[in-house]
Amino acid sequence: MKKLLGILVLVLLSSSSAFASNLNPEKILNSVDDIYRSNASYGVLNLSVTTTNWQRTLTLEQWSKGKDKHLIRVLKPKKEKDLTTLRVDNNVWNYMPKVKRVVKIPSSMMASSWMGSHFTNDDLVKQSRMVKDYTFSITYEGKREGKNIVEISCFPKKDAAVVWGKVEVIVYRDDFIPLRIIYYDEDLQLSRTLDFTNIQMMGDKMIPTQMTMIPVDEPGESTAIQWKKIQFDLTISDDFFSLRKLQQ
Amino acid sequence: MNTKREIVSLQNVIKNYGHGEIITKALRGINLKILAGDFSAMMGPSGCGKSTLLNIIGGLDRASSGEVIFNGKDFNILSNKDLSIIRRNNIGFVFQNYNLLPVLTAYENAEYVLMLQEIPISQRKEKVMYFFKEMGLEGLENRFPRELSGGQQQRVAIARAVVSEPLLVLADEITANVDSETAQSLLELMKKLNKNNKITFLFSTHDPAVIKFAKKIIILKDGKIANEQMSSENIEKYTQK
Amino acid sequence: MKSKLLMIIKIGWLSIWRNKRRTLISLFSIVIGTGIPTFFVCIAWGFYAGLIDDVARLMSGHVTYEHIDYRNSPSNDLWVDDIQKINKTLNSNAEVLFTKQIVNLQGVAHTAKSSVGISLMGIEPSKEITISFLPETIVEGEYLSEGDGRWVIVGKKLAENLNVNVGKKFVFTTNDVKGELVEELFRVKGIFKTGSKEIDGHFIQSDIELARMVAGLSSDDVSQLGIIVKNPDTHERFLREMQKTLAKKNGVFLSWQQIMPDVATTIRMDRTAITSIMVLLVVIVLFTMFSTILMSTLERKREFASLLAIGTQQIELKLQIFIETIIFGLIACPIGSLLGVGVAKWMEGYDLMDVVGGKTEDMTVGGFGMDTIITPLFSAPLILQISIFFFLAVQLLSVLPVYLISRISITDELRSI
Repeated sequence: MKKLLGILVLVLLSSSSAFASNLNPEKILNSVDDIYRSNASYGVLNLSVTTTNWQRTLTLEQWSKGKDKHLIRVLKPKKEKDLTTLRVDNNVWNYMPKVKRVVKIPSSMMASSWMGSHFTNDDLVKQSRMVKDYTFSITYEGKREGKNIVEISCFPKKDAAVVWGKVEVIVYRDDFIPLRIIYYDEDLQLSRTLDFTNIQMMGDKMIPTQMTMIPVDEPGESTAIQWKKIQFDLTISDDFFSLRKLQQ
Repeated sequence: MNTKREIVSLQNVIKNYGHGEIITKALRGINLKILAGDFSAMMGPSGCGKSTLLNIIGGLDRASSGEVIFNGKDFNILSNKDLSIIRRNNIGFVFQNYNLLPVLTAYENAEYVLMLQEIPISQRKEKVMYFFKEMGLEGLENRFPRELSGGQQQRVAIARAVVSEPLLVLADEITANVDSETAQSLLELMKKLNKNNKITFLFSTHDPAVIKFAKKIIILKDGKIANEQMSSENIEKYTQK
Repeated sequence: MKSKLLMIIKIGWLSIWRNKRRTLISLFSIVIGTGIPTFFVCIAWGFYAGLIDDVARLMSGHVTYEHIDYRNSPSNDLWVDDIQKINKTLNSNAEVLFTKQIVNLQGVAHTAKSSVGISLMGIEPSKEITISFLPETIVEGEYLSEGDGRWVIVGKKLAENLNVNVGKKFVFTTNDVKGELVEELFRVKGIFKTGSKEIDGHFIQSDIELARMVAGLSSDDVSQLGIIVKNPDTHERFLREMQKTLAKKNGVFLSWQQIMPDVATTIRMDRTAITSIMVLLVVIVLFTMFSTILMSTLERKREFASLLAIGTQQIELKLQIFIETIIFGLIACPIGSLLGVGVAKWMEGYDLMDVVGGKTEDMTVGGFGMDTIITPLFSAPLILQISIFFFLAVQLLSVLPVYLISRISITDELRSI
């Protein structure tokens, strides 16, 4: 009996190490980080914010270059049309069309909600790679709810400027397209989940066209991003992401 | 032969009270002399002007017209302050209600005027003790007015009036509030002071007892002196019989 | 002359006691009138002195050296340099008790649960222990020590809002001196509780080296150099001297009133309130006294007239009245002062909140919690000032009887009854 159990453990251990050797978690995490990124891209998306009191949808267009430059402009609703957010490196500016002024978002505002959503200004700015701030390992590989998935558990490095205690990244086993990212706080209590759905071919790339953020401590609330259009590998000059451009 | 010094001289003194239509004529032309050593009593019915005349002689009030000469000084041309200084130095007052300072002892009340005159303490004591002895107030020095009988209070008041040995002591109805026996002794006292210390007295009174003592009687009627001709000698003879 | 004055004083003194009850009521009203503001002032000034000292020691001293524009917008990129030299000079100045080097950073603390705007103050921990009261308010964990690195202390309220405990982490987002966004991981070493909403909810402290590292400042740079002086009363003069001799072109020495105008304004307003109370009391006292003095003059009119008749000068009578009010003041004002001081002394050490039955947290001035333990300040010049103020107010009252005396008609008063 003892022997039997020992063999079983050995088999399990060797099988898990076999998975690890097959799959490179660093590669998977980078591909998740880069899912919507390319050298330069353009896209149109709907941002739907649901709170217990109200629900609203914004239509936005966005340009990006690399991981440091973003320009986001509101298309709809009319009231907020042309409200533009520029992010270059660690800095975020808002252009208010009504008063025709550019306002730099100070660090103290970084934690504030971006356009009333469950994303913060900081979420927009955040560009660090998972692999840099976390130690990680594959903690599950196989079928779950009928899907063939890989689960990578990430634990923040000792001094990494990360609020989470643990992040679980779940991707499809076949193409590493993300399925769900689960964030836990320092006490490993569930904090929020980010669901990726509606995988479609868009801009010559298979991507989840909908992303839904569900905070745990605000039941019934969520923010969803739905890509309407996306183009990858465009050529956009650096000048495009400038304050001058912002005001135009 | 009259060589006595003239202390007070009134010439046609008139005093009117009130304004406009309603004028009370208190004095209607008084001519009067008071000489050193006089012991005169001024008599007359209520409202005849006794108090008014006394006030004018004492420099407490001013005549409406006429001349008031006190010790050679014309009261009409003196300021209130000057009058006050003359009162302090040359006139003693004795009031019907004694008007002693209740917070001071008998001794201190008598000493008060001497203090105002800034007389040194040794002389003050000497003078006060002398007059207290003269007036039979020995042993009462440290009593407060409320601890004294009416007669004793009036004696203290007299002591206060005479202690600085003024030229003239004005005594207004001083026997009105004491019994006749006490009045008698007060008058004897003053007579003694008049005789021994040469203090001149002028009384205003209703009291016939006073008249017996007076050397000279001035009868006042309707603001005028009714018996100017009555000499002191005549009265003396008359009253001493 | 001397004996006459003595006699007048004596008569004045004796006259006061002719109506003992009335006199005692008057004396009582002056005693209370002087005593209440004296008491208030001792207690309140004690509180303020304590508050000013606490706040100065907790924050940036009685006098602060900082960038000339820092007051207008306390942004992270306004700092002063050459601090080690300036600090050395200051520490050799006889008027300086302590100096504290401070790096302030405005930013945001985030955890998985929430984000809160906070102010980080980097200090020298071993010095701070001797200067500030904050180390004494640690309720969980420990206060900082040198070389603590990422370990910081946070307020109780902030800890609750961020949902952190001792040992837990949070991310601090701020701008460095170049304006770049920086994010750093901090860990909670200790939790303090001061009773002030503002400080307990939005304030953290770290070793100055951590703050310098986050901000990108050198060891010769600070946001503020706080100076705790030996005598806070003369700090204005001290700061003018320092401004002349020590300030660099971009630096300025400021007083705590300029640094913390809210505290200064509140204290000023409170002082105004006390002054108003004082004025009100003066009116009440004068009113009580007025009737006393009026009555005692009116009922002695006849007596005054007889004194005038026998040759007392008006001026001598007026002097007597004047002396009577002086005696009132001389007796009552010092007793009032002593009473005020005595009651204040008696209450020393009690917790004001126990006395009035409130909560310590309610007592804040300009966002700073007050130490509610009563520690009166007995400032002789101030106490004397109040006493003299009431004394002079009482003297004003002698104007009335003096006027009445000048109007006395001797003949009317002496007319036989």
